[in-house]
Amino acid sequence: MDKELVIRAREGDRAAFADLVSAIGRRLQSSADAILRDRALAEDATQQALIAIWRDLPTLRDPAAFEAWAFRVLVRTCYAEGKRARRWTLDFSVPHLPTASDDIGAVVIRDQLERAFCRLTLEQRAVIVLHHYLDMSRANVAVALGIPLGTVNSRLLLAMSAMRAAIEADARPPSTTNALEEPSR
Amino acid sequence: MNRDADLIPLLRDWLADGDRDVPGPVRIAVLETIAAVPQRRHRWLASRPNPLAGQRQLRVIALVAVLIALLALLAAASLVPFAGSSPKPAHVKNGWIAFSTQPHDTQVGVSDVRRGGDIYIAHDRDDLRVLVSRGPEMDTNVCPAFSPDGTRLAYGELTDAGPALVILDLDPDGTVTGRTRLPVDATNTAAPCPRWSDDGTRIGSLERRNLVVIHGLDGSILEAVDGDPTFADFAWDIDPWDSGPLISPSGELGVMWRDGGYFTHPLDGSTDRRIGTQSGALAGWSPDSSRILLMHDGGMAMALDALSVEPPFEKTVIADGVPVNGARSWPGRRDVSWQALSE
Repeated sequence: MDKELVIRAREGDRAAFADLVSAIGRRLQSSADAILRDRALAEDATQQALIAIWRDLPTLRDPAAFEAWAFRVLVRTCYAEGKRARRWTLDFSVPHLPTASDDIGAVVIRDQLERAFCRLTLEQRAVIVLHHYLDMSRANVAVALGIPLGTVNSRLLLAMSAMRAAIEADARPPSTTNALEEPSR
Repeated sequence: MNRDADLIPLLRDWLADGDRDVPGPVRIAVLETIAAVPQRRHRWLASRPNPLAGQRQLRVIALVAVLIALLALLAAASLVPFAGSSPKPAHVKNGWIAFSTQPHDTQVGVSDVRRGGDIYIAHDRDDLRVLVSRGPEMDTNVCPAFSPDGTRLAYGELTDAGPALVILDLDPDGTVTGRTRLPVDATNTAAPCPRWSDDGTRIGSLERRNLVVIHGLDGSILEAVDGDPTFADFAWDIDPWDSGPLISPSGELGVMWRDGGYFTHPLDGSTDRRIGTQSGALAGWSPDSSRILLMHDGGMAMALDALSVEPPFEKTVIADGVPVNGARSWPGRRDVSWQALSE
């Protein structure tokens, strides 16, 4: 990240901030998409994060820390937006439809990953996204989220275990004598 | 060997599948919005105020006091009209505390952010009650806000019928005597967070694209006037974990966390004071400016305490063991409202 750009934006230069949005906006938006799994919510969270970043930029002492700080703000707005979200949300995004080049197995895996990921808490999702999607080191994830390194490690461990368990449960063939099956209405 | 070695590459590919550019409308909306958003220029310093700064502040305060006295004289002589907002009561006492939170899931350790929310009211743990329930439909009910006169409670709702503002008329004993539902733009994908106008006749909500919409209590959409909520009133919606000071309703004290504890900072520049060793997230002030609200995470439950800002810093448990949906679903500052009652 261009430190000079951050310094200019910190001093109130809106054009410099627009350049910062261009530079970091895509990663913020994609990360919010990945954490919230809802495009409309992710857009709102990203927009709110960018406004908070603009508003609070003068409080950032070290321009080199801009990126980690920006992701911390984003994760917070994702938490807030996720909390206000509706139980169900219409997703107007185009689903990933299988194409000739897709093999059916890959589509099934994507669906399993989606279901397993959505079972995670927002905190677990955030750690996974920062570490496995943005390629941040665990130490940098700790800085970005403002949590101890040990907490990052435990959240990652729990999240991956939960995902694995959900995928394995998903792949298991349904029992024909399921005692917990809902009675037909 | 990493036991997740097979899963991680799949996960990375799947996450990268969502890669895309920032859509034009979002970028444009951000740049348009920040044109109206001032950058924060003032931060509270952790260090003690220096005596010279205190003297300067005293001079400024003295000048402001003289100006206020002059204005008060003019007002008393009816030379200055104060139309547009009703006068605040000279004395207030503390009524019900309303807060919203999300319940835990049926499966311990699993969180689903889309499983509704309840609104509670309490004076203390003995009279904690659910005022608005998520119900079997798992409706979302958030952001309770008492009207300035304390007779109504507004909140945001998201149900199968869409997003709406809801206004409840409340008896002093907390009984709901009336309910008005004001639907908001259905393109909002989240429940709106209401803020009252100074005179309690209009409600503002921050809706999609960070647009502040002013609603009449009859459901009409109104032009904003002086005394209506503005974008700045929704600061905590933008960043509910902002660590800046929270100013008391009396305007005399700020309170914030530093050096491992909460401190009050008198705005007249006098010495700040540590208020006990209580921890927890700051949720708000009491209407009479005598107490602050602190929230505690208890795993899958939350607790809410009221702490006096004067020695001996008496603590009252407002709620404890309230089921929530993970550590981050206990109330933020926007999720708590303390009813002001005129004496």
